[in-house]
Amino acid sequence: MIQLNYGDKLRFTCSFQHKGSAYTGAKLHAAIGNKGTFGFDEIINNETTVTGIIYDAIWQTYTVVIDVLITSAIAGGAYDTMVKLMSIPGSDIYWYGALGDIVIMGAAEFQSLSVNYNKP
Amino acid sequence: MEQMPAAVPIVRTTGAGVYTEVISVEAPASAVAGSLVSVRVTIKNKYSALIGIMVGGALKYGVSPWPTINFPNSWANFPAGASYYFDGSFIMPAFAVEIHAYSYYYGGDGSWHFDDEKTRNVSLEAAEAEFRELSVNYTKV
Repeated sequence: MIQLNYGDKLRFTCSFQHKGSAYTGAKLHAAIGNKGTFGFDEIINNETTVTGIIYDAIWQTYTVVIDVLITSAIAGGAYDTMVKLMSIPGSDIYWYGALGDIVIMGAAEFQSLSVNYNKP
Repeated sequence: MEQMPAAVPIVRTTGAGVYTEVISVEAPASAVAGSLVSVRVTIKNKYSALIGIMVGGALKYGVSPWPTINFPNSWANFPAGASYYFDGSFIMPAFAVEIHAYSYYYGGDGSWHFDDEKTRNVSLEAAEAEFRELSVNYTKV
């Protein structure tokens, strides 16, 4: 489990394999949200275009880093993660993290101000 | 006993196919990078008697020295007027290539002499990009 505050970043280090022609335009999309029966409900995300995919005669591994900034757009609570490799030939490739592994601490809250006064 | 190449008694400076002729260079018009490309080079003996003829080949595509084509059996004694083919192969690079096929004859001086040449182009066949095995680690930064 990873606890995050607003202003933190969650860094996704993504690896995938490629072979065949050089390719431009592939994108990695990382999101924090809720994984449900009908898909993944994204709340905050980030996306990057993958560059430097050259011709590979055999399977080659590429690693790409993408950061998601934790903003007040997401309320405090436990969340899930999802990354997809998209804009590639064929279907998008999905990865899902462990459920509830991300905990957003949420905004600071204050309450119950009480005061006493007297003559010193 | 290993067969010896029959020699042309008189060695002439050639390169114009005086004693031999590269009749044809057979290869696919295109190939995928990394694939094995087969080449067949047919050579004719133009001399008036049996001579030893050797094949050679190289790939022109922007690297130096030019990579060579592998011919497991690279020479034979040809009767006068006979044609014979040699099979070879190479691994297709990530570029279109120009095959240069050469013929050599065996001279009376005990050396192989370059005599003729023919070329053939093989274009690069695009292999669609494929992706697999997305894996992710994450950490707070």
